[in-house]
Amino acid sequence: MAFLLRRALQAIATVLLMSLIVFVLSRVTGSPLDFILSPLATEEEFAREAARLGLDRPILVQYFTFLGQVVQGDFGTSIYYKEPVISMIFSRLGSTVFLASTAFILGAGLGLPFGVAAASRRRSKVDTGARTIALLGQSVPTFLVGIVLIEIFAVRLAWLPTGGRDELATFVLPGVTLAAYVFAAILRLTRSSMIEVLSSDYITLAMIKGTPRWRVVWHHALRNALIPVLTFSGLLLAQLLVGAIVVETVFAWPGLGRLAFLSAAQRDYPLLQAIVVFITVVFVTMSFIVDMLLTFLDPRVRVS
Amino acid sequence: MSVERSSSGDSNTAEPGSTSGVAVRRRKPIFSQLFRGTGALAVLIVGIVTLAGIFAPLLAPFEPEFGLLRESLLPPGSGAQDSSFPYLFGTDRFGRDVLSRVLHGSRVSLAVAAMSVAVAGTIGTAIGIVAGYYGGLVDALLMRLADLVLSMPIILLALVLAVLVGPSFFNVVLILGVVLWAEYARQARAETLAIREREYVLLARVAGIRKAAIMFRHILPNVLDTLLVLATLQVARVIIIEASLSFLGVGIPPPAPAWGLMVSEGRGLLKTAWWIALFPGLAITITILGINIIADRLKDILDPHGKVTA
Repeated sequence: MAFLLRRALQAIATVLLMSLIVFVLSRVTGSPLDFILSPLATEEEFAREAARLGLDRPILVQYFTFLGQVVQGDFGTSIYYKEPVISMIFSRLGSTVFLASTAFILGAGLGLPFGVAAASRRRSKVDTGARTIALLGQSVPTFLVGIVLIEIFAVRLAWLPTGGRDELATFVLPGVTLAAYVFAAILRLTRSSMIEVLSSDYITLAMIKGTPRWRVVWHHALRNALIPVLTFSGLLLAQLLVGAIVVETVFAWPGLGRLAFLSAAQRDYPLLQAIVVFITVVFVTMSFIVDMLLTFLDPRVRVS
Repeated sequence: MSVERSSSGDSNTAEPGSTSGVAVRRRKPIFSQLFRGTGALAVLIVGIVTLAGIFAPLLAPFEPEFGLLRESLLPPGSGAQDSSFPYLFGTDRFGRDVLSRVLHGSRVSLAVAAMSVAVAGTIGTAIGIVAGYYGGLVDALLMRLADLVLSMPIILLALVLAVLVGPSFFNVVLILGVVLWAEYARQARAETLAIREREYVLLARVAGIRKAAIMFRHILPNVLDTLLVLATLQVARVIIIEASLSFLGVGIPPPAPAWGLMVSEGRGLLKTAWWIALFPGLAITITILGINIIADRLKDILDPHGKVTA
């Protein structure tokens, strides 16, 4: 219990630190007034607008005001789009979550069995092939994967749209692009984790007792080998929400990542802060849930 | 989650003290193992890329940042008007030689990677060893800080920071250094905890050797193996992150020849001038591939028990 409490406190600290960094840095490095006011605006107009948005107060005062409002569920209104930031985030969240989870299910669903197969037949053709694909998947940057897929399937073959976000078909290429990364990562991790577990004494014992090999591999070994994979999956899924940002750019796909990018560039403070807090909360919640699951799966964690 | 990881490091302490394990290290087989099979190819690739980066100003037939507009978008192999050397990889929109830019690009990638890994590695290792050696409050504070950094969405942080501080070489190095030190700290700490209890360290303490000297001369050399594996993995990661940032326009600013930037410049011209994006794209891919293969090998050789989790 103390362990979970400590983790919860750490999660809150993470969100606070992350938001503080972004909050301070976004104010020190620029101002949204440069984007919403005309370049010809007078000093007075700048001052009036700054006062209206509360930007003339000391940064820390602004930060605590912001925290106070967040606690009450008020994230404010976008300076640039003049819309409540919450509704802006939620209008894009659905598709980003859909994209990330499709990519995850696809990538992990293929990566896991291939990883197990590779580990149980070490140095076989399956293993070599799986390792090669995984190595490639980890070595080619996502934006390149995306560009190559667009060039082949959208431009040359014209099977799928190059970008945008309307019908289901627009999800395919970005989804596959992200899935390639997940596949490689999960395959590698499953393989190395399985190899370690398969070399342990209880596996040897199970084999000696005459348990069928497939049962030893897929039942006895996989259960324990899944622990690190599970830990990593939680983080991976959360990372996908953010990692989608590059893919969203390549596919001109208006998701949450794209919005984070634009809001930072335009110094749209309320929007930027809300997105950062939101993604960080999702991120730490994911790792928190993973940790809770781990304490059930692996009693050793609880002891520490 | 880093909490459990560091605790699994703790369990190393409990292992029956294999006292001589560290002292007798076989250095020679490392290289023969590294060079076996695809390893040799990987070393060759990374070697060529590194040399190309170091000697780019001598090797590049043209200026990477200047071109003749009248010689723009020439396909690979076209002759140049003012030079006897042809444009082997073609020219880009501004008439700049793609080959020269790719060569100089490896300089940019490797410089960013080397500097940010050096920054992150030095800070992280120092913090990790100090935390592990002193223990107590120092350890608790430093490791909570590392845990905090490790539990942040790193890519989001790097990206937002890059957008906010603006594209520049040193900003990229600084951001990556700040964001990546914690992994070294955790790793170095876990190893230090185990090494601290070894006989030779205890004897050094009894002999009255200063703490700084013990940490630097007796502990540091023994954590370097696994840190080297981590650093190699991170070099590949850093190059990918830098290329992605540059691709998004918030990494290395133009007209510098960064690979990610070149891919993004050539992206709109794939149909008419595929060479602009293709060659830097290939350069990134084979470089990362080479480094990842080497990292895999080093992991097998230097870290057989899988202590490096990154």
